[in-house]
Amino acid sequence: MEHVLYYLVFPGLIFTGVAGLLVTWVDRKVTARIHWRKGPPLLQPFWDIMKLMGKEITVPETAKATGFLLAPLFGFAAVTLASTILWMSLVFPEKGFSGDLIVVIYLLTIPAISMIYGGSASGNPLSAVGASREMKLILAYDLPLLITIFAVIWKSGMTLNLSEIVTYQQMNSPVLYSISGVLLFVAALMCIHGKLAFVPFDAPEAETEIVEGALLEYSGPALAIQKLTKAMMYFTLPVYMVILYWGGMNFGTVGSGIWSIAKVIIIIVLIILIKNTNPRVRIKQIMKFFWGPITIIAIIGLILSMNGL
Amino acid sequence: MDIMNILQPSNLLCPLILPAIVGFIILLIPKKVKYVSEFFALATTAYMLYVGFTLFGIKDAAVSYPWVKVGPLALNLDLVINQFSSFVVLFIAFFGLATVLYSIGYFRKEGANPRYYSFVLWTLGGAIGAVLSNNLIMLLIFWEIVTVLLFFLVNLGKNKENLAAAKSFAVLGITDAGMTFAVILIGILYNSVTISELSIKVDGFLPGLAYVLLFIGATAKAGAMPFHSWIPTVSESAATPVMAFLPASLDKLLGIYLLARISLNMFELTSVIYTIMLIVGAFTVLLSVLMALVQHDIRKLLSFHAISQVGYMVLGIGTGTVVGTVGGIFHMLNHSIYKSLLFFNAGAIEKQTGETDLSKIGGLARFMPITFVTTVIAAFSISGIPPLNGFFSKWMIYRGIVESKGIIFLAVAMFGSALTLASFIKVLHSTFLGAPTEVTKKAKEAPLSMITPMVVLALLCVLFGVFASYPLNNFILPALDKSAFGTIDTEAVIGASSWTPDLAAVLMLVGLVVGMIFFYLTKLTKVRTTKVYIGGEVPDTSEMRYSGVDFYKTIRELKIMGAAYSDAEKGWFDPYFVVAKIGNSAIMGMKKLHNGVLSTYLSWCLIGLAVLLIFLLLV
Repeated sequence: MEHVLYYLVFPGLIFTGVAGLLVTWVDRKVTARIHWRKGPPLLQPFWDIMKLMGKEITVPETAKATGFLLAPLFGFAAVTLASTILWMSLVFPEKGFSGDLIVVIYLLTIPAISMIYGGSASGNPLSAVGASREMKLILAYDLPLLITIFAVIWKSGMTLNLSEIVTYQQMNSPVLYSISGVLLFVAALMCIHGKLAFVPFDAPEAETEIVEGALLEYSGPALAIQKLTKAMMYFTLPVYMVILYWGGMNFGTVGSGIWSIAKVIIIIVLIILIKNTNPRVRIKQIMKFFWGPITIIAIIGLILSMNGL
Repeated sequence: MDIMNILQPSNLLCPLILPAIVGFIILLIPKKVKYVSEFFALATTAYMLYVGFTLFGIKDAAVSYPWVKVGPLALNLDLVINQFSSFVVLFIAFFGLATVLYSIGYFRKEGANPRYYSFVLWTLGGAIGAVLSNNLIMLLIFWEIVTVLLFFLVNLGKNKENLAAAKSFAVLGITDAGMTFAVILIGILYNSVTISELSIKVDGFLPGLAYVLLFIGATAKAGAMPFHSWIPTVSESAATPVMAFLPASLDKLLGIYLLARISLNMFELTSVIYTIMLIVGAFTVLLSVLMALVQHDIRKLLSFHAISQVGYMVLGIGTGTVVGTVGGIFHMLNHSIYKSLLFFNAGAIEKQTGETDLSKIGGLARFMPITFVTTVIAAFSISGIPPLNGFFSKWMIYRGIVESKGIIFLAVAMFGSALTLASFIKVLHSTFLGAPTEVTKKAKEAPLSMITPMVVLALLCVLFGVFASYPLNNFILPALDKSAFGTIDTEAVIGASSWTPDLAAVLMLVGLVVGMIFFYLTKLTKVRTTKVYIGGEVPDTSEMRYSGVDFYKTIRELKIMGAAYSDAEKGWFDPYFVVAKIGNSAIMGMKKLHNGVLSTYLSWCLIGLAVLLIFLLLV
């Protein structure tokens, strides 16, 4: 029962949801400042979700309605669980289990799968294009991301346990503070960016071309859940990066607590900067980019870390 | 020994003799009499399942019947049931029942070939015999019975059947010959061919050779690279229930069972052998899943997955760790479940639409809802999506790989899993989702006798994932306990008690319910149906259909991948093809020498004689 509480309140649903929406606010605010605009007020993301909840649901006549409407819920449930496991490793390290890292990796793929499924189930050809691109995007970033994760496992004393990885890094030094660590961090940041499907890797959504792809036919509460899932991913993935590559978080003292939160914000700001200073590229270019330079960087990082650099 | 005694469910001979006898009875039934052979087959397999349960309850028994005795060579029918073989026998019987039940629906229109059910029953008996025998020679005989029956069953298929059947027989026959050689070698070296008596240390060339030959035989049956190529060829022509029965489930159970037996009980392996196993596993996973990604025919696509999943099992056993081995064997069980389910689904689609080409079907979800749901479960299970069974066994294999410090193999295994997912997204999109085609608009749900095994298997996929500790504690851990690993620490293998897969599933469910409440709080009741939006164009979905077939064309267009694909499609990764090429050119070369001119022949003879003489003089 206590696990359900963790899942629903902290660090699960409510905490991740609120934090995720706040992150989207940071995103919109910083983007606006880059554009020399004023930007939305703090509560705007919440109002947006509230507004969508009140709208009607439309389902295209070609769609398989049940699957189409259920798909977003699976992504939503999975990202909540992933966030719960990640935070549990920080807050209650003793509750971790061997192999939770792999569970998290898989859970963080489910939101993308549910997008693909929903887009595919809508029967809209543009959504189908979006779905196929989303899948190719997963394939593209998965290879380098996995390599960086294995380098981290190697550097953290061959464990698949998140809390042990964090403890190891806090006892010794974070992965990032080494030559190989920097390379791994850069590769992983690119992969996280791809996972969020932001510009320049936003081929699966591409508003100007395929009208948000898989999201095209969603409306009302279903769209609200999709947006909320995306917002939660936007918060969970930087946390995940901090845990794996930057020594995790430590709320022992006020100073270390602030520094922990600052790490997450730094990663978010890096993502926002990349997002706002690059043009969109085609899916083939994305695959070449990830399977070419990024994989090579990740492999160099892996080799260097195997040699203790 | 009277016949009633043999048919007692607790008798080890029963699962061998009963199907053999009923198989012959079915052969005698005239073709015009309908449903009798189906009834016999169904009743027999149901009884076999009961026998399987009874034997599973016994868990420890051995019988020995003296059979042939020629001079010093004594051949005994040694049957042993232990914790490992009992659960494999149980599942072989289970898949036998599922296949027969499914076949009744599958062949209901044209009627099955009268020999079909006999062959299925004999295969069942042969497979159980191979699992129960404690004598390597008897094991080989039963093993060969299964191979021959595969040849016959494939031959009953529709087109190009002889070529495919011949290829499967050639590949498996050669590897089986290798196994025979290994058994002879073991017999000579260690004076025994009884599995439980052998404990061979792989330290020299000969024991190494014996192990490698047995390894090749076992993995060729299961379908690991490089002796995999018979599975895709067979898939082009064999009837779908045959695919579900042999390459998808029984051959996996047999092959991996033998691999586990030789690796854990018979031989003491060195790290070199383990590394070879890891390499074989990794190559199998990656290369065949890449091939699966670009297939257009659903059965061929599934057959490539049947190969790539074997890679995971070999990887698991190749780690040499407890977790990895348990995971590998659990994956064997899970794979048999979801892969036979996938072939059953493919067969249902094939029967109801008459098509197996992915580009010609689509939007079936509305017409075949039950098949759709079972396919989704099986597809996500094979892709390793938590909390389904495929995830749990893969998770254990990954942990095993990390324990054995093979980081690069972990990368291959996990990336292979992503590619598997990609290829099943393509299957789901092009068969069930997307827009319907002319063929699929008239499709109806499959009949009950096909649906029933599908639903049962889908339920097993979910249950073995959510309550994974149940099959692990009852089937797999007892099987491996006190083998090469000594007593197994259950807690360490399944995971700490604070977090179990069923808890994760419950939490996922809570998330779903919360999402549902969101929906209900709003206006789900007033769902409005609209036309699809295609950027303002008039929606004509039959014209603008985007089939899943070309989902991954981009990957082909990348330079390196394209080259690899064209090589693979020409057959250069297929030993059968390569050997055929070499053999062909050798024969062509010799053919040129055969020019019919007597003087040339005579000069060849003289040259040969001269060489012989010189050789004799020098020695």
